This record gives sequence, structure tokens and C-alpha cells, in this order.
Amino acid sequence: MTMTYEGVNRQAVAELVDILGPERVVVTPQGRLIRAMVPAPFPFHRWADEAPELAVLPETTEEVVAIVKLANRLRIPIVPRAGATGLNDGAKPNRGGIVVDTKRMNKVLEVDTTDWTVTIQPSINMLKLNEYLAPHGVWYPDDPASYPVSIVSGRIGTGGWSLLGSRYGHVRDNVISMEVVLPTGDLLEVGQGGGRKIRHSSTGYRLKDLFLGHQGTLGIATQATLELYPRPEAEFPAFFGYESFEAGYRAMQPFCRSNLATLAGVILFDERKVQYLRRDDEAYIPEPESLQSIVAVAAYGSEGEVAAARDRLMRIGAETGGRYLGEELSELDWASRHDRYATPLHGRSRDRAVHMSWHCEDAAITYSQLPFVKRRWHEIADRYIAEHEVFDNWGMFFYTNNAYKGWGDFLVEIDIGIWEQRLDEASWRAWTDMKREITQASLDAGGSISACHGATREGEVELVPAELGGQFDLMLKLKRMLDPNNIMNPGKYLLDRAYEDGGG
Amino acid sequence: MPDEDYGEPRGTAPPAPPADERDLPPGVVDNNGHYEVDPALMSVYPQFATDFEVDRIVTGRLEYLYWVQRHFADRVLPPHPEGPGS
Repeated sequence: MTMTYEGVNRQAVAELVDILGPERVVVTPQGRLIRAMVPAPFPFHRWADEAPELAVLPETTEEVVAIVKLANRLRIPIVPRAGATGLNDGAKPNRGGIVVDTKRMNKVLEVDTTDWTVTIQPSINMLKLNEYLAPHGVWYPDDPASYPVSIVSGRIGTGGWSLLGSRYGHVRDNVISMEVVLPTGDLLEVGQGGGRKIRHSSTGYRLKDLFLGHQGTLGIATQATLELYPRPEAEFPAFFGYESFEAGYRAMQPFCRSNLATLAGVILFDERKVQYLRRDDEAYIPEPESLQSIVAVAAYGSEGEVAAARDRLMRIGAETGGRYLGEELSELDWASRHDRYATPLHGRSRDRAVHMSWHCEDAAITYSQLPFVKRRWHEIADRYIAEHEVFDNWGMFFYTNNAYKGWGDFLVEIDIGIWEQRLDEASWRAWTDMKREITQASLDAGGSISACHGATREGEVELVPAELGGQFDLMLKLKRMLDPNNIMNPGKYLLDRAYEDGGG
Repeated sequence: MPDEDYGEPRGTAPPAPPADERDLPPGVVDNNGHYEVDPALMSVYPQFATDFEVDRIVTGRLEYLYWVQRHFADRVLPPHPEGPGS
């Protein structure tokens, strides 16, 4: 069976206007085109092919239910879109249709200061949510690089990773339960067991995780109940310099295994990253050339605990041969961790140009395999960069990836600067080929393609079945069961295969 | 999607003239209908900025970074117990 879709016709528009009113049905070219874009490298030369036929702006669960039921009945593709800050393709359409832009669903519904939960319409920005929560002495600790701009429902859709995950967990750990509109328009309450505020249950299957990281292919979250934590009394960040990548790599282990419950994250910068940062107009690292690698650490919690952690972290830094880079650099560079989304505006490329876009791969790799992956990724990137001046190598980061603990595996990131404005079909091909080789190297190392962004883009998605094996076959079955007409974000994650003869 | 399906756009300005009929200010280019800073300007090094602009940028930057710290924790501990502010 091959799915065929209907376009958005006069009947569909009329019904959508009945549901939402004319002001919340967007048909203008500008309104449609802007909802085709994501921050990941974008092929402007294909822009018109990627636009939705229209966008809608629901404000309530009931409106989302009505929109999805309409789309399912009329066989119109539907693409949930939250902040659209993700570095993958979940928020943009592959088959035209309707983009459901959920940004107006951003109300805080309940702050429970007894059971310590907050229930929200999930399209609220985390920064704004925490400003709302601050007077209650609590916070929601999801802290991606996109913290100032991304929103909770997008984090749910990508199953995202947090910079503070070693202390506070990641999205999957802090979303307690959700209300999800399924592709048929049915409403599902899903969590740990049946209670909206229950954190752990052994009743039934663990279905909540199915709706975290599905990239908009299984439903639209319309309500979420989140974990709250006491607001940190204290923070301690420290940056240590090392004279080689190998020295920094070895130093990570004692930091990661420091047995400190307040340790929120450990980040290793390789020598190429340090070189890149030296090109920064803001003189980011006015350090001697002998500094070739950096290990950054940060702790959060009560003041007494963080003070004790501080003493131990400073001792580990000294014992591993690290040079403390000073209070100002440590504090301010840690505070600039969200600048990742302005990275292209900071550093300059080889030819001293300010590239206006970048992309980072984000594989999950075990500690033992980090040197192999670093070597392979740089070899691959440099080979393509030698042939295509639109690319540049901005070095690598290695972040702790394990929730509530610093050891085990790491989010490995290589940043590739891209002159997006100069991308054409040939360089776009080169980009996807480069990406595919990088992805294969991650799998060769026994890793996972993505620790944070998801893996729906050309150049990586082709290798998802190889990574997941039998799990991918189960994904196909689940997709076809929950979305019998393949209307929910079709074309993503190769899930169209579920609808081919013999698929699913 | 033919226009006759929808009639006039709702709640928006009248359709803009085609890009090639518009005067773009210096330093702006039309990239497939998307207005962007001229990439050529990105290769200028060093970029010119007045002292006023540099002060404004640096001050704004520091204000932002200190705001981030206050946003995430009540205080930032110094590296040593005897340090200032401890």
C-alpha cells in the first residue's frame, strides 16, 4: 500500500477557519515559508519545495483534536511545530500539508508546591517558565544550548539532552506525564502508570518514552506535567587548561567519577575547538599556545554541597595537571553556554569571514571510543573542507551524557561552519555525504547517531535502521498502528516504509 | 495552492511587490526572497565599530552573562573558600 495525500483544498480551509477563526489560519507566502525553516543547514535553493500549504495556530487541546481529526479524515499531512530551534528536521514538512504551530499553547496551568510539579501547556519557553516558577523557590532544570529560545513541547518531540543532565537528568527524566493528541485525533494521557504526578510505576508498559523523541510522528503534546527541583543556592563553574587533547581526555575520568552529586556536567574541548575560539573577535581565550585542550565542569545545589564540590573539583584539576583558567573566564564562559546558537557570529573561519550558519553532529559515544571518533570525524571533515570552501572545521566538544551521573557515554559534537547562503546542489550533496560518513563512524564505534537532536536528516536517517536493527521494525509497526493514514509528519525517520507492501 | 481557494489573505498587509522591483538598502541581499546581510560584508576584518558601539556591546554582553548566572542560581562560588564574596 502506498499512501496518497490530498492537498489543502477549499473545504479544508473552510473547516479550519470554523475551528480557529480566520486570524489563526496562516496562508500568506511569508507565513508559510518561515515555517519551513529550521536552524540546521538549510538548502535555500529548495526552499519553496519545503513549505507547508498553510499553518494553523491552535490555543487549546480541543482545537488540536479538531485539526488532527480533520487532517486524518481528509488525508492531509500534518506537521507539529514548536520553537523550531532544533538541529534536525522534525518541525518542517516533507510532504506539504498543514503545519500546526503550537507556540500559542504556552500557559502555565498549575504549580503544585505540595507534590512539586508544574502542569503546562507545553509550548512555553523554559526560560519564561523558570521566571514564572522563581517566586515559588523551584525550577525546571532542562538546560539545552537553545534554552533562551526553545520550548518544552519541542524538547518533548526531540527527547532532548540537557547541559545539566548529570545533575538533573534530561527531558525524558523530567517530563512526568503528558496529554497527547494521537494521529487519529484521539486523546491519550500517558505517564508513569496512571497518575499524572506519579514518578515511577511498575504497572503496565513504559509507554511515556514512546512519546518523547518521536519528532512529531506519533502525536502532538497538548499538556505536560513536569518535575520541579529546589532552586540552586549556588553554582560553581571551573575551566581547566591542558597542554594536549590526550591530557584533557585523561583528566575527564577523575572529574566524571568524582562521586559528587552536585556535578551537573563535564565538557572537554579539543585542540581544534581551542584554535577556533582563538579566532573569536572577542578574544575568547587569551591563553598561551601551549593550551590545547580545556575541561569545563559545573556544580549546582545547596551552598554547603557546592562548596565541598568546589574544593574537590579544584583538587582534581590540580592533580590532573590542569591549569585553572581564572574566575572571570570560568564564570562568564560557563554563563555563555547558550551562545551555541550564536556560534557563527562569534568565531571567524580560515579566511576570517563570519559564517552565518553552522551545524553540529551530536552522537552518543562511550568514553573508550572518544579518541577514535575524534580522529575519524576530523579526517572526514577536513577531506570535504579541502574541496568545498563553504565548509569549515570549528572543532569538537565532548559532554557528559549519562543522566544523574558523569561517567559512561558522552555527547560528541563536531561543529562545521557553513556558508549557508552559498550552498548549492553540489555543496548540499557534499554536506549530506560528509554527514553520512560521520554517522557511519559513530556506528563503527558502537555509538548512537544522535544524543540530542534526533536523526531524521538526509545523510543520517539512512543509517537509522542499521543502528536500531529490530527496534526499527518495531517502530514501523507502532507507527502504522497509531497513524493508520500516515498523516502525522510523513516522510520522517523512513517511517513511510510502514505503509509499503509488506511493511509494518 | 491556487489563490482562488482562499480569496484575499487575512489580516496581513497587501502583497509585496516582487523583490526585483524593490530598492534594497546597502548591505542587504535578496536570497531567494529572504533578505539577508550581504555575505561580502562578513569577510571584512576587522569590522569597524565606534567606541560607543564597542562599549554598548561589551556592557550588554556582561549584563547578559551576569543575568544568566542569577537566573540559574542565587550565587556563584569563587574558586577558593577565602575568595571575595565567600
